[in-house]
This record gives sequence, structure tokens and C-alpha cells, in this order.
Amino acid sequence: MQNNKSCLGRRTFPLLVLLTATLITSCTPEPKRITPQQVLNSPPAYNYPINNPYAATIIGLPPEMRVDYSAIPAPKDETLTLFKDRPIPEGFWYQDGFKYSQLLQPKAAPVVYVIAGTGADSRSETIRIISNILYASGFSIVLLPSPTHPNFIINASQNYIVGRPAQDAQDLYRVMKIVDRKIAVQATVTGHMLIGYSLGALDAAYTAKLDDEQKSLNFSKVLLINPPLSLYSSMKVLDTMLYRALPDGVNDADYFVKTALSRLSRVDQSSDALDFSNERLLLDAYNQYNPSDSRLATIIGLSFRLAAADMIFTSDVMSHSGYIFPKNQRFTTSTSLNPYLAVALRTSFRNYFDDIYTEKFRAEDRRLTKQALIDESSLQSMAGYISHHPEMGLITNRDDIILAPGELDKLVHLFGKKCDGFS
Amino acid sequence: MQKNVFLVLNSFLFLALAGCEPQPQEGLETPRRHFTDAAERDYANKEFMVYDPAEGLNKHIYKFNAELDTYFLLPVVNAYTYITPEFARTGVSNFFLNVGEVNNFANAVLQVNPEKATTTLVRFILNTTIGGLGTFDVATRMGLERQPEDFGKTLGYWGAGGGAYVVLPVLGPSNIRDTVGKVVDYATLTFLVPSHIQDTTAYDVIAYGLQPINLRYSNNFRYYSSGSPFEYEIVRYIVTQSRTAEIEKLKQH
Repeated sequence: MQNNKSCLGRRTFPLLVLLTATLITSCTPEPKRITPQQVLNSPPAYNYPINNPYAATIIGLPPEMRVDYSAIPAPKDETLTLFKDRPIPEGFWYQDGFKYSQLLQPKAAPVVYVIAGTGADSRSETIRIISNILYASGFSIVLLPSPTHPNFIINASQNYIVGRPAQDAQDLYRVMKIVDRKIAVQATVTGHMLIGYSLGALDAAYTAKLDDEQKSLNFSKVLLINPPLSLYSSMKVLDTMLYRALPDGVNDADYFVKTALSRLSRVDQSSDALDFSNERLLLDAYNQYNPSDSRLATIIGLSFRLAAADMIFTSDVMSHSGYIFPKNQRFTTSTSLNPYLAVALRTSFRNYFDDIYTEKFRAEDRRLTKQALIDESSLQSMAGYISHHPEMGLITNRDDIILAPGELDKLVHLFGKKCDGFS
Repeated sequence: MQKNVFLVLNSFLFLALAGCEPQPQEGLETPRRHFTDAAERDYANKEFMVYDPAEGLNKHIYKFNAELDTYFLLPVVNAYTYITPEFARTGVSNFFLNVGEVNNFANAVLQVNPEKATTTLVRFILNTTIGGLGTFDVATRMGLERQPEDFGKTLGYWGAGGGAYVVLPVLGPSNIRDTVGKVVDYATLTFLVPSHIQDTTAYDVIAYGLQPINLRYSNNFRYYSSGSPFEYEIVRYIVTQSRTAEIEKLKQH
């Protein structure tokens, strides 16, 4: 026995040395990522590497360019009840209150309210990036979902028919005032600011205008990041994108998605597993397959259509409009949604605008035309306000995919010196 | 013994829930938007749909899993994250992934894939020895990627279809084929671990305490975080299609 052991020992020793040597030489250290403090001390040049705006929208920032935010605490999830006696069907059992997130500085600091984009909530990646860099700069943060997010529709919308910027601003402002009273107890608040991303930026503009009338929060700065110029026009742009690679729309989408998943599963050749947690997956897939612009546009259009389906279905069930879901049907955990999902996926934002939105607001005010409703949800309707309020600024991309031709110039014209554009 | 208790509990749950199959409501008003055209209806019946005959039951189990997550598993995972440093948690994850190499190896052999079997074997040997009983994944750092395989995939490789969609209590979305696969993989592992190890308290603590916590810790999925009222349908579709894509890729080797 003893002999055997020592014999094994002598044989394995060189092997171990060899292995350890290979190990040390082949271990590639994790790439060192830039810290928030480095960004603040010397902001890096804007050198975004993906030139295709569709690919950029899907992929976001390549992993090696991302800032390391691991030292910044995660925002705390909070819940509010805004409408006490509101009946919520059992099928929405998990929507138990309005959900938002906050991250307060231990010292006295201004609070920045951040509004998410279409269908997104306070946990969306873009919102988290904005939140991290603001917190690192010394601000307290409150992150709010988009009024188009199901949780907002169910718990914070006054009448469940969301999307009208002036009305959504009232709902958002109601939430902000309540949250502000709550955080005043927990922290020293030295001022208020407002940021919105994409559709959230449009909401931010209307909320700022409302605040200017009511003067409860007195936003000292308002920043619109990648806003649409006109809500209706951007909805049209995104709707059209779906059809770029799918002439028959959602009817062909099943094959499209299956192909996409099958391609994604082939990106990583080192194993047979499809690992969605791999942060390079989309970037690698893009470099490997070089998908056409129409395919990329369709992916964006599809995800937008899904957000529309969520919004329209939730609004329909809550308002008992009988649009997609039968008016008199109970909505419970076991209700099969297959037939309604099929219809919802074939219902666009513009269908909702024409059928539900226009009817609802025209019933309240017969003088309103469809065109008037379209016009009032454009930043151009606020031109006077924007030019008289130097505290409202704009950051956007010159090739932002949600802008129709000519709209960028109009945005630049509206904001004048208060805008920054990146290409 | 504990395993039997689990099985009994599970079958009770199934029986209890089988009673809540939905009764279609009578006299529903037709909504404004519905399919009038037969072709559209045909598309609607197959696009994004998955064979799910026990949908009502599955939806209740999905809800049960979400509640279990909220009230039990996630609080436990949070406590675990709070009391242990990150390198320890990574070590624990690596340890169980290394134990799982037994299944990866067995399935690579059953899929007649010598290359994958060899990689897995070398990984297991390296990680178990110089990787400190598997707590350090030195093999990946040396360029030997993990080859996750399971008996469900092996069955798929040999031509078995997925069968009906099933949501398993605690374990989540699956189908008939993959459920059989899970049982076989579990049995393989139990069979291969020597009984003098299985009979120790330490083994019980690891297998029934640490392993489930680590399993939940390693998975980033959070129920209803998508906010979509169609989350059940979308998860069902994506899980099924991703599995199909993985098996198709397997067959091409």
C-alpha cells in the first residue's frame, strides 16, 4: 500500500506541476471595467462601436464597455396602494400594489425621478444604468414604471385607458407627490429633478408642465433622453418595423422566432446549451450572422408589439371594455388566455388608438377630433413651454430609430441650444 | 426516506389541484376584436402555441411556484447571499456543477459523443483534484467548457418528442420527456454516490439543504418580473422552443 502511494505521488507530482503551470499561463484575467468614479472624473469620449442603429437598439452597450457598478447598492423595491377599494381580478393576483424602486443617499441630496420607456418598469436595464450613474454622482433616485406597464395600468391609472400624455402625467404626478412625502421622512431632500427615457421622456415633459402649474415639486432640471417628437408618429414607425421581414405580420412570426432561437443556440460552439445569461450572446450572434436591417427591425417591432399586447389586454380587462377579452368573463389564474393572446398579438398600438383611446376621449369631449388627439401628444404642442423653460434639456441619438424622417430637425429646432445629439 | 415524503407530497398536490380544472364560462359576450376569418383562426391555433392539455392545472402550479418563491425560496436565498461571501457561493455552485458532471458524462456516452464524454471526464478529474473537490472550476479557465447534458436531451437525441407541457411543482416548466429525464438523472446520481456517503448527516445537509438553495441562487428568473399578463404563455413558448433548438443542435453532431 505504502509503496503504491508513494509511487503514485512521484508520478503525479510532475503532472501537477505541469497542470498548475498551464493553469497559470492560460488563465486570462477578467477584463478590468471602468468604475463610476473614473467616468465622473474624466468622462470618456462617445465612441459607441455599433453603427447600425437597429443592432445598437437590440444589443446595447458591448459588455467590455460597460461600467462596473457592483459597488453601488441595488435600488430598494417599494409598493404603494393608490386606489384603496379598486377591485382587481384574481388573474392579476401578483399585481398587489404599485411597484417602484428607490435609492436614497445617506446625506442631504436632491431627488431625481426617472420614468421608464414603453412597457418597461423600474427594473429595466436602461433605467438601472441611468440610476447607477446618478447615484454615483450624489443624487437620490426614484425609479418609476412607464404608464404603459401593466402594473401601472392596474394600480396607478385613473381610468385604465393609458397613453394620453397629459392624463398619464396626472397619474405620474399623483404618484410622485405621495412618494415625495414618504421619502421626506427617510432622507433630507434638497431639491427635485426629472428624467424620462424614450416614451418616458414624453411623459416627463408633460409632468414638468403640470408641475409648473401646480408647483408641488418644482423640478429644477428636466432631461428628456431619446424622446419621440410625436407619440402617434413613433407608434407608426415601430408598427411598420414589424412588417419589414414579415410581410404577413404576426402570422409568420412563429417561424421567425424559431429561426432566431435556433441561430442563438448555435452561437456558442463550445457546448450544446442555450445560455441566455451569457452577456455576449446577442453581440456574438450579430457578428456571426450579420442579420439584415429588415430582420433587426422586425425583432424590435415584435418586442414592441408584445408590449402593446400586454398594455392593451391589461387595460381591456381592467376597464371591462370588451375589446379583446369578453366583457362578462371572469379573469382568474386558470382562465386560458390562448385565444386572447392570439388576438392581442394582432392588435397594434394604432388599433388601440383608433378603437379605444379616440372613442373614450371623444365621448368625454365631442369637439375632440382624432387629429386633435394626435397633435396634443406631440412635443410640438408644447413648443412655447419648452422655449420658455431653460431647465428642460434633451439628449438623443441622431439616428434614433423611433424618429420618422425630419423629426430630428424639429426636435433640435424645439430645444435649440439645450440639446445634445450623438451619432 | 425524505425522497418518499417528497413524492407523496407532490402527488397530494397534484390531486388537490386536479380539482381546480376550469369550467368554461357560459354565455360569454363576443369581444369587439375576434377572428372572423377561418385562416386567421388557423394561424392563431398554431402560432406561439404549445401542446398543453393540463393548462388549468399547470397554471395553478405556476402560481404555487411563484408564491413559494416569494414567501420561502427567495427569502432563504437572500439570507444565504447575506451571510456568505461571493467566493463561497461560487464555490458551492461549482461544487454542485462538478457533481453534475456525472450526469453530463453518462449522457454524453449515451449520445455516443466521445469528444464530449472525454471533455467532461477530464473536467471532472481536474476540478475534483486541483479544483479542490470541484469548488474551483479550473477546467473552464483552461478552455475546457462545461458540457451540460441531461437525460431529457439524450431522449430527444434518439428521437423522442417533448410530449405535453408540464409545470413541475418547485422545479418549474418542463414536459413529459424532460420530466422522465430528470427522474432518470436523479436516479443515476443516487445510484452512483456510494452508500457510506449517502448515509451521513453531512450528505443530507448538502443534498436537501444547500443544493436546493444553490439551485435557486444560480437562477436569475423572477416570477412575474416581465409584468406581462401573458407571462405563462410566453415562458411556455420560449422554454419549449429553446429546448427544441438545443436538441436540434445536438442531432447535427
